[in-house]
Amino acid sequence: MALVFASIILWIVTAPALARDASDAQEVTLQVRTDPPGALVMACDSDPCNEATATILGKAPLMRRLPMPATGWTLEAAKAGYDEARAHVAPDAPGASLRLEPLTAEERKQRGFREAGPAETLFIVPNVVATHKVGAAGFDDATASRAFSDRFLRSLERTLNRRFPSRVQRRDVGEFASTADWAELQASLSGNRVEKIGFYPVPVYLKLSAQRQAQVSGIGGAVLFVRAEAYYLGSGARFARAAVPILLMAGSAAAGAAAAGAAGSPVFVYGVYGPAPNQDFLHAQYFLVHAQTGEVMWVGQVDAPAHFENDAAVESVARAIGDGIPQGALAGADLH
Amino acid sequence: MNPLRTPFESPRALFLSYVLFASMAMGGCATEMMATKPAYPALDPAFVNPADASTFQLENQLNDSPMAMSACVLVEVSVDGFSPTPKKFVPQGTHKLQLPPGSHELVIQPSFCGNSIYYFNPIKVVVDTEPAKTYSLRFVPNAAFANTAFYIVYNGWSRQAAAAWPREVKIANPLF
Repeated sequence: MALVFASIILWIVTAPALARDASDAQEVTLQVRTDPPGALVMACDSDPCNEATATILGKAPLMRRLPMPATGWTLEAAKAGYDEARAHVAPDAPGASLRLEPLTAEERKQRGFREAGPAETLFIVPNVVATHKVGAAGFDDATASRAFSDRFLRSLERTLNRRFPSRVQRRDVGEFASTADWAELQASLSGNRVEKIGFYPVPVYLKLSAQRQAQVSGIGGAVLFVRAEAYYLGSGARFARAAVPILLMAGSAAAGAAAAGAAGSPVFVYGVYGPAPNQDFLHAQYFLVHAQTGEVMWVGQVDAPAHFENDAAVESVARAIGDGIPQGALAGADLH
Repeated sequence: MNPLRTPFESPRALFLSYVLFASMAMGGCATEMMATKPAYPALDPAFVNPADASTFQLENQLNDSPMAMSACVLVEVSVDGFSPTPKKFVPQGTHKLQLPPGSHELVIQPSFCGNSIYYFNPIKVVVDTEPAKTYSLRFVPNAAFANTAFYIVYNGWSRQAAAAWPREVKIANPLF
């Protein structure tokens, strides 16, 4: 009894505090303008802004209805070639207009800007493009895996050739063909927000050793590093997926009936079991890099819940990558 | 009437409760519910020059009546945290909005009419618009109701921009 009473007292003491925490954020209409327009705006809880935890709001001008903490936010706007600008907004003043100053030639040099002309050719460099049997590593069907790889890469090449006629080539490079090589490429991007690539005042460059950078430079042009994996269930796992719920249901019904019979009850209860979710899916990741400077021009990934023998799904993943490459990657347009 | 009997044991009361339930389930169309989010505000000329505004069209071709033969799908859309229509679910037809050019966050939450065991995961897409251009988002029913429940057609954006946006909208809990 005393414990119940103590719990009630504790609830009375803590409830108003919890309610205050929940109502701390207020729904406001945030309006942000930048000069020049098109800068990427981030909202940060701290000042200076912690990029890793900041919320990316999008390109200005923007208007959003969202919950804002009572302490407000520090907004940071970024655009390639301009210095970043900051402003503070609060629930009672949820509007900001930010002016970004262009970087001078001297500032660009100080910040490590690497000047280079546009790439003439696009090289597709495949990393691992293969199938993986879920729960049975090493038992993949090599022929099926090769067929998936061919279908995916042919479709990607076709899409890119349509967009950049006669300027796309596929090149198998041994130095970038393993999972460890891919992990090295990914690690060289650490510390950067992927959504902000293309908006940093100075482009993001691959942070590779001199030898590795020389290998990238050796490929030339613009390099599309691509990795695609198809995860699927084997025939045994497929059978288990259907059979296990049926067996569980039968066992539960038998146990329920036996218990009801023993108790003399006319009704019995049993469980209904559904199959496990389908595990088939396609997963592709890619980096577009300027070979000469190491500039990361574009990064992304595509996922599709489909089997690798579903030609249409495989081709649509490859098409999504090919269609998504910025037009300026080869045409010489300024990406920044 | 025996005072110990519940109202539902009377045949007439039982029939009337059926009629009441059926009229609530079928007659009361869910698209009539009012939006829970505030309506998208008119653009302030001090914020965006009206000539620079982007036009956003929302076209809903999905069947929103449980009385029709095809699947009844209701779509709740939020644009930048606001409701594009006064109703909770986008009614059939075309609806226009004026947006500032820049990034916009669209959240699309479809659902089947009534108490369906099937559900959809919300779709969140961030789209960019340019000054004085028109963009449209069309919800198109799937002719053969199989795995895909409906399609989203994006018009006005480049192929590059729309490459990774979802086109087929499937139910989230297919059993087989």
